[in-house]
Amino acid sequence: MPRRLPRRFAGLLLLSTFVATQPSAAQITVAGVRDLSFGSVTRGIPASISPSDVVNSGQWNIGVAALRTIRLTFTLPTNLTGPGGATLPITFGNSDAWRKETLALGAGTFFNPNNPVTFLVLLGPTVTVRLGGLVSPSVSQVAGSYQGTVILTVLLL
Amino acid sequence: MSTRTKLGAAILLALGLGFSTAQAQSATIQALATVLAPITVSGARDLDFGSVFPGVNKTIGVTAATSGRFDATGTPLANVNISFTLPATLVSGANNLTINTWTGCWNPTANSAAVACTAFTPSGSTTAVSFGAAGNLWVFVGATVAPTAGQATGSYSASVQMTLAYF
Repeated sequence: MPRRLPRRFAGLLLLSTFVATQPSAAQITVAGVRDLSFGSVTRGIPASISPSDVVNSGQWNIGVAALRTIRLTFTLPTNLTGPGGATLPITFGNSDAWRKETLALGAGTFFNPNNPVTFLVLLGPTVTVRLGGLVSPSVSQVAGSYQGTVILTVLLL
Repeated sequence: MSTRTKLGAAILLALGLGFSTAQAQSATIQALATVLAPITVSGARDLDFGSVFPGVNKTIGVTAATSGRFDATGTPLANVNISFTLPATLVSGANNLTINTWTGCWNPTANSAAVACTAFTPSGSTTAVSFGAAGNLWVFVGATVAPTAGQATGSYSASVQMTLAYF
């Protein structure tokens, strides 16, 4: 015959289970997976990369448990830096960022990387974030390789 | 401390652990672009067969002093496709002179068809080549003209066009 637990122990047992299944702050991870690559561009001709581009868009993977709210904030460059300190303007439009939970159905959600975005992660355990953009070389742009840093900060709320 | 108090403290502790203050994690990627120098290309030397005789074919090879030559500049070491618009005949008024059997070679390091020049067959299809470390490219072309036995005398000419595009 199973013994019935005293009520106070049953409460503690429930509490333990609850705590064990909730993610802690340390469970969130962010990894840069792929650089945003514009490839070769020509003087005087703007070149864009869509976040839908699975080869050239920038990508991060976020590890986060289900039912947690996170806030994404990008630190975006306004210029890429090239030979001798030459600068190449780079801008990001309203739909140049995209996110999708790995396990979720559907096409994901486009958003503006210039503003923080907050949302509830329904399924977890991974959210993919991609970034596109636009570079605008001038007609006298110095030839060579240009580079800039993009940071994605994920805040677990 | 009563059992109820202990339980309350445990709940508060657990909530504190489970819902700790907001914490941020960051990761960095790079945004990368390569700005290409514009391509320049010029017809540097005409493909010149000189005098030819009716019924006698004449070939000008790429290493000949009168082979055709294009000089191009672009981004050092960049890959580029070259393609040609080639005539099937040279023209003198209403008369045509057949030209065929095109030959070519490209050299990214020196203005020479004799040394380190890579052979290819000029055509409308693309050929992948590359600029040299100094951003130069020399392309040489040769061909054969085939005058008929009754070829009309005169000066014959046609245009040969080379197109370059980065890839």
